[in-house]
Amino acid sequence: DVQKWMGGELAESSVNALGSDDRDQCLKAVRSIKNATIGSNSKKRLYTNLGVIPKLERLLSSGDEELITQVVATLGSLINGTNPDSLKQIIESQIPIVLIQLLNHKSLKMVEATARTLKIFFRKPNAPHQLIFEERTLSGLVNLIKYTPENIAELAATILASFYTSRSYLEKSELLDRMRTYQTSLWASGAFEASMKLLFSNQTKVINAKSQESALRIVGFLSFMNLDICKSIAHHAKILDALNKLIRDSSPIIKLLAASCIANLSRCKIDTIVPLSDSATVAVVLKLLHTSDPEWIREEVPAALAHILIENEDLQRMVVDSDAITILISNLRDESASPSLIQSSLKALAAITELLEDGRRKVIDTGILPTIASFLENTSIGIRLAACDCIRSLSRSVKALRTALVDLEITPSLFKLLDDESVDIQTIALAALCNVILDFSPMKKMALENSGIKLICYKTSNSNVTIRMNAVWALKNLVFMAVPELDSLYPSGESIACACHI
Amino acid sequence: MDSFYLYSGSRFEGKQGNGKASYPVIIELKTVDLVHSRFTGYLHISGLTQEYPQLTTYFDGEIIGKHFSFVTNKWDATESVDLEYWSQFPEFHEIAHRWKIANSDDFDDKDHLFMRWKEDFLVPDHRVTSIVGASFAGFYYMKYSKSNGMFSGYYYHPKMIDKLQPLELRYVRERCSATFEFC
Repeated sequence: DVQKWMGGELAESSVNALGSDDRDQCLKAVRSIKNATIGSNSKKRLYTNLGVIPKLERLLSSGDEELITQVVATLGSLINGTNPDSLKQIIESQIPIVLIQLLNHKSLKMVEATARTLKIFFRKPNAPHQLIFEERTLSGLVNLIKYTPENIAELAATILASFYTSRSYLEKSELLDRMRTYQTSLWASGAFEASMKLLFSNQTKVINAKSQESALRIVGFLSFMNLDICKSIAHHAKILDALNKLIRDSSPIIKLLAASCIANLSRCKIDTIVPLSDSATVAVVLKLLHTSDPEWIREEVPAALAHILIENEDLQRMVVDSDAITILISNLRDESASPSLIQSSLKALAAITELLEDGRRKVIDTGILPTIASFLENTSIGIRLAACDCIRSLSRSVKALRTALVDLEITPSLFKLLDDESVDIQTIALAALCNVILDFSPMKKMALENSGIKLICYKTSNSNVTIRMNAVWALKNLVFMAVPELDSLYPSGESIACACHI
Repeated sequence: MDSFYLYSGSRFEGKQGNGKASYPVIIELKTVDLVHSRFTGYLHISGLTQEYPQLTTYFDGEIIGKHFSFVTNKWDATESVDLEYWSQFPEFHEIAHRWKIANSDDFDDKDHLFMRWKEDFLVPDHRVTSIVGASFAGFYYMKYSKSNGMFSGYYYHPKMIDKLQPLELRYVRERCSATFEFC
């Protein structure tokens, strides 16, 4: 194929030119690579394979503003594709750190280009979001929000909010602790005041919408399960008014984010008038479950619902009585559903079935259980975790343990997850096993026969405190109503010995 | 006081039926959730059929009051059936005139609770849906005495000829008790 061969040769020479001493040739090469890769995944792959990324990295320290700006834009193009290699190489290099430093540059043009690329970068789930939470980075971004023109302010806010959007946060146990640290740093950096500025400024309509979205994500992140921050936020009457108005906005995503913020404040039960009652807030979100415009909001609504329902039985009841379960189940059965939609829907189902037996029975009666079980082996950690959490919620029912979960033959899958790469998954799998091995569960015998006790005992000395607790919990449930013949399945005294170690 | 005898693992024994046609019954409570007025358990009955000399079913219990009404409104039980069965209990007469709107306040200072027990599936094989000579398609109207842990009641099935089959159970004292919690 002559054209392809010619393209390959051209590409190689462009990449080589990046090392040229001739500044103009170099600049020309960067521009050409940028233009070639924009919108073409195959070109992004081609140039990455030709080693363009390390060469671009070197140019970032050239000190040449115009050149660097073009390099930054090119990097943005390479990140913004489906090629995992490009992203991986960039993550593993110093490029993210250098780009973050460039946000402090005096040239606004450079700052804007850098912010645009970083916005794309941090949208990727694998991006190192913890970099955002370095003190200097945080204050740098907050300054950009406060003092630069609206287009740059919006980009900075979106970068700041991307930790929330990445969905890598907010699972149980350890991440919750880490989240608290991040919330504290974010609050200290003045991000809340900066967000307030965005919510109340007069900006051009399009930028306003994006800024509002990012500002609400920041406030939502700050307020999630953090009583101290909620108390401080509640002092600002202006923010409550703003949320009250925004939950009635025409944009579904703004409505959703405002609802999440209100729910967070309400959960902390501070003595201030929260704009909307819990049930009214949930009603807004339930209605949004029916929205599919924009398409990606389908992915956001269930996850937001899951957060709002945490530990709230009344709200879970409200959702159980609605058509939410039907919609979520059909999401799971949708063959064209994205991984994010699957994960989000599973999360919502886990939350809905957390406390109420009616919810569990309603879900089980749909016959969706085999599908949920299949997600336990998905390649995505987020999906495995959410599926495991569903099983755990459902296993809190005697009836489910004796019927649907038995039919599923779920025990081996749960034991396998005890060795998952994710600590959070191990924790939830162990929690589900705690329930599976209860005496009235027919799976108890099977669990124990397959070295189950040994595995559980092993977990009692795990470095993670929640895992240790769940393991001991499992042993406690094991001896509930223990039947004599099970004695033969216990290794001699081992279970008691390891329990004593705690 | 309500829950003294009602806890996970508590056992009650007695019999179902009358005279020659009476069968030993043992129940074991599995989960007890007084906040939601529900509990679950197993019901073992002996000698009911030749195929199943020992029969165990899982059942759901509903406590009348805050969450469940005297009016059953399901399981083929009409209001007249409800009245007929609840009226078998002398304690029901105090509240009969407002039976449709009774709530938990009505039982707070009384010694009794009213309940329905509905068997759902067989243990261990929940896939068995029917048994010759026995049925668990009906349900029980029950009364429970808080002070001595006694249950008494009647089994109802719309197609049963032998109506008002009684069930009586008393608490079985244990020397130690166990506890569990869902994780």
